[in-house]
Amino acid sequence: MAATPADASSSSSEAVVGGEKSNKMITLISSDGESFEATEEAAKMSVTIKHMIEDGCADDGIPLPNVPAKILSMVIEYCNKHAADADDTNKHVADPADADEDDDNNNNNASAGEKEDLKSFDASLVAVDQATLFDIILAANFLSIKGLLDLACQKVADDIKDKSVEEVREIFKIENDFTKEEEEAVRKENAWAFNE
Amino acid sequence: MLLRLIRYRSSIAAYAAEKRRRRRFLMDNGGLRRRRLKPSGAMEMEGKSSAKKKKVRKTNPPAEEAVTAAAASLLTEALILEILSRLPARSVRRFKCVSPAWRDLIADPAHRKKLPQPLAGFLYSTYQGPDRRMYDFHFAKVPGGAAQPVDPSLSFLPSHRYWYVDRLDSCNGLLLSRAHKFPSTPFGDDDEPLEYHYIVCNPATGRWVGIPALPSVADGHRVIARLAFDPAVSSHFHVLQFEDTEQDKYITGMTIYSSQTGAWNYRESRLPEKISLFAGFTSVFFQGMLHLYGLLYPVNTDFDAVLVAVDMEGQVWKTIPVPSGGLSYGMMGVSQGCLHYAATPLAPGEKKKKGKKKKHGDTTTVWYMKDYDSREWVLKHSVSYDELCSMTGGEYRVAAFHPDCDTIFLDSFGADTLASYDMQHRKFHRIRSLRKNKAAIFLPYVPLFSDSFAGADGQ
Repeated sequence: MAATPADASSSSSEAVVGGEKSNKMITLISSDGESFEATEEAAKMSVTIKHMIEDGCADDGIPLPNVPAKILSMVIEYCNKHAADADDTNKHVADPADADEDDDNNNNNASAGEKEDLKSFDASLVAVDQATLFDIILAANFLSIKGLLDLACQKVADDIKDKSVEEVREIFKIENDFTKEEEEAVRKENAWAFNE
Repeated sequence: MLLRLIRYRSSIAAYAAEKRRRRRFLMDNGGLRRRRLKPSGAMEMEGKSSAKKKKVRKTNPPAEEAVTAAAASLLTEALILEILSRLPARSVRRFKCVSPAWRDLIADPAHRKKLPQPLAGFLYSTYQGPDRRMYDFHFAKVPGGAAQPVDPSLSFLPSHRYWYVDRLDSCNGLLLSRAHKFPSTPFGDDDEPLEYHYIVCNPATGRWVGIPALPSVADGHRVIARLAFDPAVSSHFHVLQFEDTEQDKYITGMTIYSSQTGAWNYRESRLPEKISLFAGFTSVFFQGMLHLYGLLYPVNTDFDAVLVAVDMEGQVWKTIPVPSGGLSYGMMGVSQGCLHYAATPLAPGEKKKKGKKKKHGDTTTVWYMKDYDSREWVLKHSVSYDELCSMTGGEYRVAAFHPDCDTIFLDSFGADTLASYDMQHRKFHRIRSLRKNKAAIFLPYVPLFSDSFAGADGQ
């Protein structure tokens, strides 16, 4: 098939655009049947979803039966924010030939500011109750979003760091099924770790 | 493509099945207790074992509780491990008491790579003879450490290659040693300089790396080598060899090796003052700087001690004054994320002879730097010589800091005992006897099981 000039130009512009984000939207369906839209780029922050998109299984929307709507919207918010950040970083790096020292400094300042912005976004995203935090962890794990998993796990760790054994049991809903002797033995072995 | 779809669907199914099984495991306490009483020995507390348990339902908790319970019960062991791996060692040890499942999860050797380890003990040396293999090496275990003892003989090093390996420094699980080659005569002519090169090894994994030898140190020069390594920041390490002159006895510069570049580079000292380093003291790697203990040169009767800090490029050299403790024996360390310093006064008898009255004359004081950038020492604890003596029954000095809690380790003067002192509860606890003729230095050892240790294996 002979390529018309119009075709040629569109295919060449596609080649240029290839490295940048496509504007395709992906539909994600929560466990309670709610649909959410996300850009393909954001959705691909989830390795699980990325594979599905690449395998062409995402055309009708991706059902996520183990992620409730409330959590899915937070996950998408995270992905949107971090995908945009990754994109900006790439844009800065795109033309090293153009960068002179001034540009570098400006870029550094800009990205330092962005980093702060990202940090406070992350902090407020995980400033939630335990149940929601656990749900985020489960979702991030299932969807294979490393950054979000690290973030949520770190938050839980920070929350429980100085807590007592009883408080941790309460948080994780764990029954104390030690025998008296077992419990004494473990406590004794790790006596230095306790504050009392 | 179809395969992926099948895998996806089946992973969802597996996830749902896991969800059901997990809920049973964690909420079915009735079933678990019945298992415990079985004499058959089928005592596995791990949820993996069997899924065939009767569902014993508790009375329905309030809605919110149920939500948290549901979410919490779904956390797999891998996810709990992810959370635990981000805690300090002390919290991880404490949470061994949460449940048998958590205890086993934390104690499992397979998870040591991920979890922060507690202090295992101290490597120390005893002076054993006038020949050039002067020191023997030992390991003093402390309570709360991992079950495995450390083999101070470093038997994984090729003994046929090295005549004598001495231990110079430890840092976050790695050990710096100087490996001496065999002398040409059986007992080694005392004047013959022994060839050596540095070795960095990980006693927990047996992995070791030889470092290219430096040209021999010029006559009259003294060297002190120390190790800098922080796996949390980078898998690469640095070896810093400080040099001073026999004559002048203050630091003139250092040669620094980077495992990343594989090269040694010399850096002249940029210290504002002249400082003499103590060879017999441990160093501390903290905030990317190596800290050493030194004295202002020329050394006067006031023994003005100071900490020297240098970065890994050899560009930033700082001195940090230590809290004035009068004539005392100083010790620095890192505990719970802060730089600490302890001053043990010299025997009061000696003080009286000097006729000087200092503020903390006969008190052992422990200080820490809440904020490293402020360089301000905050007094954490003080205990009088008399009180300590009455507890210990003898004279002790501060030998080391526990990295994870407010406990210091004490070394007796001549009584060959290692002890600990809990600052919070003012409690003294004798740990163990040490071998005779020990040298002053105690190298704290916290095992490193992860693979993050740059460099090729053995050379």
